[in-house]
Amino acid sequence: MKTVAIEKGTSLTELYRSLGGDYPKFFKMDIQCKLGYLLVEKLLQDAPDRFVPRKDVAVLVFSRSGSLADDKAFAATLDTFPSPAHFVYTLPNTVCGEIAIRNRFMGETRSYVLDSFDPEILGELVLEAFLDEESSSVIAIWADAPSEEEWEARAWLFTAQDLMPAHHCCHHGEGGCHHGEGHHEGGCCHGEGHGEGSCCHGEGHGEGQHEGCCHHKGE
Amino acid sequence: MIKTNIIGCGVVTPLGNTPGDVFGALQAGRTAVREHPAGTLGLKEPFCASLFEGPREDLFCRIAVEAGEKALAEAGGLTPGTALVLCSVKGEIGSLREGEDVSLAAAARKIAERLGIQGMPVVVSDACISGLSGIVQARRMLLAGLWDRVLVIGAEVQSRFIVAGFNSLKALSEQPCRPFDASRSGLNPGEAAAALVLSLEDSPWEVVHGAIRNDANHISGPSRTAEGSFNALSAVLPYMQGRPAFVGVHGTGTLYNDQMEAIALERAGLLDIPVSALKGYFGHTMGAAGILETIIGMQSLLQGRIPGNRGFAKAGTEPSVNISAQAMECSGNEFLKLLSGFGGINGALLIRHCV
Repeated sequence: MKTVAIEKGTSLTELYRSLGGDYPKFFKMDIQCKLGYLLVEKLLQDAPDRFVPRKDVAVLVFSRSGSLADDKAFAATLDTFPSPAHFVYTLPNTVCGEIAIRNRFMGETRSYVLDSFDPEILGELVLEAFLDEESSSVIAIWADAPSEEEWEARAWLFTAQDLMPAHHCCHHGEGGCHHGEGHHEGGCCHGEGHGEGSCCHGEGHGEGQHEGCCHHKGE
Repeated sequence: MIKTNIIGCGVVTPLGNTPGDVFGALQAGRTAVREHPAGTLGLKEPFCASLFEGPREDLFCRIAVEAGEKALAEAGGLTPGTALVLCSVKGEIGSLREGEDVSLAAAARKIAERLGIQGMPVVVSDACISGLSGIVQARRMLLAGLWDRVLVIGAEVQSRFIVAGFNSLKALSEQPCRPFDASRSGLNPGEAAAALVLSLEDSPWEVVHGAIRNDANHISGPSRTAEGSFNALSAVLPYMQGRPAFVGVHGTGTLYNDQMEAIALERAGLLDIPVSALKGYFGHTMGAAGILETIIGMQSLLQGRIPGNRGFAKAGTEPSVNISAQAMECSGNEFLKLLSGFGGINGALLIRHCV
């Protein structure tokens, strides 16, 4: 598991330049997309085969505000000429599209809106993302921008190995991740057909064994 | 084998408020899409859309709660281990200028409170596939074993914000939309709410599988090679028992969407399968579409008959698909549901009726 953050007060333009600055489309993006783009640049800057198209990385973007900052910018154009350049960023999942395009991620992308940053719920949703049989790693992003000036930005890269026994799945500084009531020993989530020592079985794992999330099949 | 099942359905639409009534309206050829004069929703020009009549105060939460209540009632009521997944693109955005908290998070909290659902609701906002994405999410929450039941509600109301936005992209049709037709020229915005209760409890209706894949191509246009839609379909097809009775397409009536779907069906070897496109009746109900169109698909499967594709006259995709303006017989116990949306996102869902 790897995690990165963008500290409050950071100049996003300077950060963009320091990370290579080779993607001018960055300047067209709304604040949420800029944060998402930069977080993934930081997360993957040393990754091998960086821009080879792949379907095995799921991208999950979480926020409270969704596209609210750009919603306000678009609404301000309604009385004159509604701006298509703003409208396309008024969808909370446009950030997923921008990350997918930049990184050639052709797997699952999801956008979630939650009432607050809750590591337990984030961890639960990350765990469930591994139920897609093609997703072998998950990039989870908290990119909340109620306005251009005030935002929170943090990202995590999880692989299936992070979810094996004795690991926590969603390190956040405060420890925990998903529901703790007896679910958590023995790692967590595997997708359908991924194998042993896991919890969170999808289908294809055999009959009549579902009594909750975390079966310790093979243990 | 763990089965995730549908144990309750609810719909609130301008064409009726039960799945049977709505399906009857479709069979009778009724549509809720019509031209609204300039001034409607504060728009300067007339536009074609499917809108609710009557007061608009609190409309988004009202229809979402009503659809949710109907689905819960069919499921036998609310149980303590029920989670809420809300699917919407823009929620209460129409109230933005009134200085209210128009976030989807705030709307979801209100809806959960009115329904008496504990715990933080999860909002899925994946553009036009939000409803389908929510069903996939609900299924996984059950597989993960953390919830007994998941109520998934999709809802959308229209506003000057959304209509002017689509208009700025030249995506709106001036006439009622014509999915897959040669003269199609855009979509009609629509309003609706629809809800499902998913559970591991027994039911004849199974959500067999679902997948979501990104085109990684363009933020506001589909892949010309249908990459994401085909990849989503490919993830789901191995779970079919036989040939599907029909494919419920997205079929927005825009040039690029319908063409892209025809290519996805060709690549998946499904060009012979009857195609059901419903947006000529409801318009594009955005966050509700995945759930509403799945519920109509269930009715179609039960009746062995898909409604005619309203607005269709002449094949307008290359290749052409198995589609008709008239109702078509269909046979089988499974159907596929497809949706695609901005952000390059595509979804495929497989629903089975086990008799």
